[in-house]
Amino acid sequence: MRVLLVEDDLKLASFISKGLREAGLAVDHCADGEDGLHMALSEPYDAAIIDIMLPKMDGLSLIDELRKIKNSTPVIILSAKRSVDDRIRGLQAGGDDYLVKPFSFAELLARVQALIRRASGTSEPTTLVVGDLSMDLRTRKVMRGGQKIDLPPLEFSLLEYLMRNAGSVVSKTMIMEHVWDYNFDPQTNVVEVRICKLRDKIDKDFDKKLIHTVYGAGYVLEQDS
Amino acid sequence: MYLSKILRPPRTLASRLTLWYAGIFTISTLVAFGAFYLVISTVLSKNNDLDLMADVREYSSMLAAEGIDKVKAEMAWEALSDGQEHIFLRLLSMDGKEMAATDMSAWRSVGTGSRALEKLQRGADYVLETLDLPEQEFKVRTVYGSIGPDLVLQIGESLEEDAEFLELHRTVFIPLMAVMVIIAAIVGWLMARRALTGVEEVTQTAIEISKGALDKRVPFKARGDEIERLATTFNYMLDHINALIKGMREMSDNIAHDLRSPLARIRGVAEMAVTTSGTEEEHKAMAGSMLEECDRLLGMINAMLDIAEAESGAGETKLEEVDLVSIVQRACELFEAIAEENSVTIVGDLPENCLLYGEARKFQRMVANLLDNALKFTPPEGTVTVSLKADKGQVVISVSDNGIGISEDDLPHVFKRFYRCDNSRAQRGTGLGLSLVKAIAGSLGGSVSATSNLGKGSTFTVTLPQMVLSHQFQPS
Repeated sequence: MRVLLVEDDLKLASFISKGLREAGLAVDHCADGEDGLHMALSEPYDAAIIDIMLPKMDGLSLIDELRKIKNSTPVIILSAKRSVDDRIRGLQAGGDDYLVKPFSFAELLARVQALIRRASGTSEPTTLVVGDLSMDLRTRKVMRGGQKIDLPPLEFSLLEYLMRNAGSVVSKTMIMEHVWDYNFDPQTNVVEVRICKLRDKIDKDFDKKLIHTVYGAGYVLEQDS
Repeated sequence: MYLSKILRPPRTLASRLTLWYAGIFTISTLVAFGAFYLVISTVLSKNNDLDLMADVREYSSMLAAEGIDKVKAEMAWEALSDGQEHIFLRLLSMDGKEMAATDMSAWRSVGTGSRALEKLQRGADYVLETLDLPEQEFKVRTVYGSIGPDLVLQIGESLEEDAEFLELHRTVFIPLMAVMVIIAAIVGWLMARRALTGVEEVTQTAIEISKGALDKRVPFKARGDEIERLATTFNYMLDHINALIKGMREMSDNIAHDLRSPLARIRGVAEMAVTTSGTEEEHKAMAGSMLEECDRLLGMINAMLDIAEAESGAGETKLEEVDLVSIVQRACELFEAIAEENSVTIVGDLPENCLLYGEARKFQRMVANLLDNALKFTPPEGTVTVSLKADKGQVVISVSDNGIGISEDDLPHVFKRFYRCDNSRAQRGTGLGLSLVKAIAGSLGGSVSATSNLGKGSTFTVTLPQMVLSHQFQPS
C-alpha cells in the first residue's frame, strides 16, 4: 500500500510519514500542490493525504484537477479550518474524508486504513475476531473463551468499534464520533467510564487483558504478544 | 485627444443625471417650438389666402354695382395705399390679355398665368399660386378670380410681412432657448446633487470608517426616502459588524488569559521530561499527560469558536428536522454511566416526540452540556431530572438537580465565559459549557435561565420557539 502525502509543514509531514511507515505503509511526501499533482499522476496511489493550504496550488484545486481527469485515488483532506462549511466544501471538491488539525495520529491512521479498505472493496465481515474474543454482527452475539457475554447496545457498539480497529489506537474523540455520533468533545469522562464498564465484562474474568489504555492517546484492543 | 476626452461620458452619477435632464429638456423645447412655428405659419398663410379671396369677391360685387371704371380706380388706389412694390392688381381676359393693371415695374416677370386661367375656365372659383420672382426679395402669393364675364382679376401680394413675423420668432427663440438650456442644466444639477447628497454621506462615512473611525455613522435625517433606508441599513450593518468585532476582541482577550494555565502545565511537564532522567514508563506518562492537556486546550478553543459562531449566527448550514426527544434520550444514555458511578439517577420526563428544525449538533451540545453540568454538582444518591415540554409554540427543556446549588452572588454570572463558582474549581471543566448553552439557545432564537437554592439544587431552563424555528427554515 502506497500513500501520497502533500503537506507543506515539514515537521508535521515527517511525523505523519514516520507513523504511517511504522504502520506498514509506503509514503511519498511532497511539499507543494504542483509537485503533489505531478506525483499523484505519475504513480497509482492507494490513498492521498492532502493539506488545503499549500504553496503553488491549494489542496482543493489539486483534488479538483485529479477528479477532472477521472483519477479516483481516495483523498483525506487536512485542514486547520473546522467550520461545517469548509468541511462541505472539501467534500464537494472530491475529497473522501476531512480531518481538522490538530488531530491525533491514531485517527488519521484509522481513516487512511478505512479509505483503503473501502476503495479496495473488501467485503464487510460478518464476524469480528480478536484472540479468543468473537463478535457475530448478525446475531449480535459476543463470545469470549466459549463464554457468552451480554452487552447493552451502547457497549456493544463501543466494542464493535474497538474490534474493527483492533491493533490501532482509537482516541476518545473518535469514540465519541463513531459510537455516539457526537461531533464534538463534551469534555467529560463519559468515555473512560464506558470503557471501564466494558472492561468489567470483557477482561475482568480473564487473565489476558484485551483492552489497553494508551495514556493520553486513547485505547487499543489487541492481544498481548 | 481633447475631443475624445470631451466625448467620453462623464463618470459621476450627478453629472450624468444633469446631462440627461438638460438634454431631454432641450429636445422637448425644440419639439414644442417646432410645432408652434408650424401652426403659426400655417395659420398666417391660410389667413392670407382668405383675405385675397375676400378681396376678389369685393371687386366682383363692385363691378356688378358700380361698373368697370370704379373697379379700376379702386385697384389703383389700393396699390398706392399698400405700396406698389408690395402689391399689384390687374385685370385679364380669359385668353390672357391684360385689360388693366397697376404699376407693374416691380413685377416684371409675372407671366400671364395661362394655367390658372385654364383652371378658371374649367369652373374653378379661385386659383391660388405662390410665385418666386427674381425682382422680389420675398415670395409672392397670387390669386386669380373671375369677377365678370371674360374678366379675371389677379391680385399678387408680397409675403414680406409673414416672413418678417416668422423671422422675428426665430431670432427671439434662439437666445431664449440657450438661456433655457443653461437654466435646465443648473436645475438638473441641483436636483441630482440634492438626490445624491445622501449617497455622498454614506460614501463619506464609509471612507472615514475605512480610515479607522469604526464608531462613525451616517447622520440620520428622517427623510423617509430610499436614501434614508440605505443609510439606516448601512448603520445597522455597521452596528452588527461592530458587535461582532467586540465579541472577537473579548474572545481573544479571554484566550490570552485563560489558555495560559493549560499551556503552563504542558510546558512544565515537557520541561520536566527534558530535564529529568526517568524510565521510559515515566516519560511515556509525562507525554500522556501533555497529550491530555493538549486535548483539553483544543476542547476549550473549539468551545470558544463554537460560542463565537453561535453568537454571530454564522455557520447555520445543516438545517434538518430534529427530534429533540431522541436527542435528550441519547444524551441521558451517554451520561448514564457517569451517573451510575456516582449513584446518581437520571430521570426523564419526556413526551412522545418533539420536532424542531435546526442543526442536530447544536441541540446535542446544549443538552449534553446541561446534563454534564448538573451531574458535576449532584452528590451521590442525588437525582437529575430532564424534562421537555412543547406548549404554545414553545419548547421548554429543563434540567434540574438536587445538588449543591449556586449562591445568589454567583447566579447572575454562571453564563459568562470562563466564569467558575468557587466551589466548582475543583471540578474539571472549562467554564465554557453554560456560555455555550446560552450562545446556542440565542442562535436558535431562544433563551436560557437559571434558578437555584443553595444547598438544595439548581434548575436550568432553555426555552426555544418551535414555530419560529420551522419558519426560519426556508429550503432554497
